Amino acid sequence: MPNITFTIGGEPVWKGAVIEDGHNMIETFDIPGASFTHGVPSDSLAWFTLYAKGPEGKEVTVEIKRGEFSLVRKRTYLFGSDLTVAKSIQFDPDKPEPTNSGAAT
Amino acid sequence: MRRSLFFVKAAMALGTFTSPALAESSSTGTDAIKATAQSGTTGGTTSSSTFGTLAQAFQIESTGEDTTATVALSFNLSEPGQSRSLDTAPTKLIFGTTAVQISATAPLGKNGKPSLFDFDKLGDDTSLKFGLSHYWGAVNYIPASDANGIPARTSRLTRVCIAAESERAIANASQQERAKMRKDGDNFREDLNQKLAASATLSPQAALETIADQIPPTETSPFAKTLVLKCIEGIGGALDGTKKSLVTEYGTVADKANVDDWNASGLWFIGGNGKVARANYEFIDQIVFNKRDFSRTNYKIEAFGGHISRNGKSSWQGSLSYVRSYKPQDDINLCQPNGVGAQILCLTGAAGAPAQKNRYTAAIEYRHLFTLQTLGGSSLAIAPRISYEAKSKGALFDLPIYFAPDKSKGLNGGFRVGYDTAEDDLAFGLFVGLPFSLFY
Repeated sequence: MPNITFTIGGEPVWKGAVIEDGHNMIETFDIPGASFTHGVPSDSLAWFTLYAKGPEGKEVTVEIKRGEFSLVRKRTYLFGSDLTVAKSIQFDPDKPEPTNSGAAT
Repeated sequence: MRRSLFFVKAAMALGTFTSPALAESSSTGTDAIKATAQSGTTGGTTSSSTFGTLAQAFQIESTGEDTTATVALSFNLSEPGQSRSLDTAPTKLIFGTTAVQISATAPLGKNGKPSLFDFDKLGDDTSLKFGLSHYWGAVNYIPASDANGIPARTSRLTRVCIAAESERAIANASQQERAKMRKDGDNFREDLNQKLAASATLSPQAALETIADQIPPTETSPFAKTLVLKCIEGIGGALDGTKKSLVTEYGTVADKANVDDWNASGLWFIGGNGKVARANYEFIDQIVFNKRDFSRTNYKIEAFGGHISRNGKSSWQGSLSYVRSYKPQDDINLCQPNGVGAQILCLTGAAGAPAQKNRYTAAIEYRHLFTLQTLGGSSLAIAPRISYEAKSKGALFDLPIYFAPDKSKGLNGGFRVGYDTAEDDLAFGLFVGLPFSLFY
């Protein structure tokens, strides 16, 4: 079971997350300080859903890594006029994306 | 009734510490509104950096001849995070986030060096601020695999975006380029369908993200790649660099109405903050006919709580605070013979030691943001606040109306009216530099 590290940055005032394995929820989290690591089962694609609120115009960032270094996903979302961000990101816990992902910055 | 007209310029130095509500607390009644004019920033530099959720900032401000340095730290205290067993899938989840902010400010240039601390106390004109807040909210959980879930909607709108952007790009291209672009678009769709066919659980959104993450594109044409980058949320340059959401740009009326389905409760919050400040007061000791220094510590402690609405347009807030401060006496000009002929020696200064003042204040505030469609989507906000001070038995009514946007189009200025029952003082005027926020 690979360990996946989830890091939330930017300026969210409040945030929570749900991790799903295929069709089943694995865990929900009050997201800790800098990042947290959780084992995600192999052999299926997984979902990370971020719920966050913050000031309009500010950003929240999500970084999903396999272990310490292999970048799987990195996304930046902007808080709109409703102050909310609710985004689901699908990722393969076994296979990091190509490392030359300049788009994911 | 006294009436005052004033112009307020206030600086936002440390985010949550300088909300309009807090600006009132350091003095009495409508004087408080006017007092914010004294905190204007006329120069200086600011640098800050953020590492995860530990934010550090160092700031130097210059006001007139005075220069101050501020060091600020903020921490997220939700570690190690709570995980919940989901053997029985709930439909509602509650999440909470706790944060702490600490900052210290000291004058620079006095006695040639910074002076935050003397040996056993805070140095003169220095201050410490601290804050603690906890936000929590409930989420209506919908599985990611659900047809009504977030991924399904995002995938659908991503396809709508790609189709729309494709047509727009082809329409703007030359006749010779159009045929190639259409072919590239067809190949791209076939590539996408093959990816989806190869995996029963791969979502269209993730398939597109996979393509977007491939740079340089291996199987995807530059044209298709550009389309994907424009339409995947969360990637730098997404949605044509504006970082707008798919729902905002391409969603149906139903999508826009349902976008906060997950948001079950709005957001509740509770917390407290405080400030300790050391100040030096000079006054005339009339008995010995000499000037004396008098150094005292001012305090402020505040507890607050409130709720932000589901749609993010309004919030209610309440607070209780205690303030201990010192008010200088009025200035006098005092003279006496100096013993040389008819000469006299005069002193000008405060008539005596400053008077200690304790204030116990309860306040309630409502903040609301209006979007004016008739004015091209411009915004206007109000933040009426009523506070009652137990010692003076006086009430302050304060009504800021925000209509002036800053560079990032956030509201940070407008018109303000205040009425102090204890002083029977009505004050009104313009203000800038106090950003509107629904958060405390």
